[in-house]
Amino acid sequence: MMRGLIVLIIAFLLGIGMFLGSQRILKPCDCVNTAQMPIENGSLLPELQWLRLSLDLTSSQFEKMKALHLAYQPKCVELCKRVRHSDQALQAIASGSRAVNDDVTKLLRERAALTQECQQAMLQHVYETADCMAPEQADKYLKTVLPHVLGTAHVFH
Amino acid sequence: MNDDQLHQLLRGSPAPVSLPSSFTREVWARIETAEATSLRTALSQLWQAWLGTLARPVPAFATIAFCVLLGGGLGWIQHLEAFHTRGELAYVESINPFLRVEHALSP
Repeated sequence: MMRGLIVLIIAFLLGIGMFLGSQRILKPCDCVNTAQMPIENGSLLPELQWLRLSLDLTSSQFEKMKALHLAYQPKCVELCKRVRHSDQALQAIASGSRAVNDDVTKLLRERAALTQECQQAMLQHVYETADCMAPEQADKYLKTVLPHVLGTAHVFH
Repeated sequence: MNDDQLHQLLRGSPAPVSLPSSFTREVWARIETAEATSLRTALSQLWQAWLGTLARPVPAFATIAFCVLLGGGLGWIQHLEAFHTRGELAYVESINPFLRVEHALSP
């Protein structure tokens, strides 16, 4: 009986060890393995690696998608800067005010317009990306990405 | 005296017996205790039988292999989930100007 108990304890410890070992051996994301990452202009694109594996994209699909992704990046960065400036301006004017005056209202309107512009740009990029895929892949892609683009991810998760 | 005569005699002169009010409750309590003990005994026997089986090489090896595979399998499943979640968030972050702002402002 003692021998059986020892076997059981060893099995249990080995199981835990295997679980913890697999956590260390398998990195949290294959993206960390830079050798597998797509590279463009010296920039690593780990996010696309996930998309390629997750949607099982062919090489030609991936090349099209990567080109679209890289073409969209300058626009995304520019929008990002405008959002940051808008946020800073809104924060500054709202902090110095004690009422919703014309200046605050104007900046809120600008922020709303910028939000719409960002969402439209994202949506257009997502649709263009989906066009590079087979219908099943596009469905899966849109189902995953659209809630984030539309800001409705909290509804579905 | 045969059984019929004894039966007749007992029926003819019933003994005045007064049961305590808690009699029924105590009987059921004893039954429950006896059943619990027997269940515990059965489990104990099962446990000992299992440990006895594990003392033999083949079941011991099978149990160890099962635990190792289970641990590795759970680790692999968790890895896949983490890969999907992190990859999804990284991609969304790369196309969403609002998330890029948050990312840029975060230390």
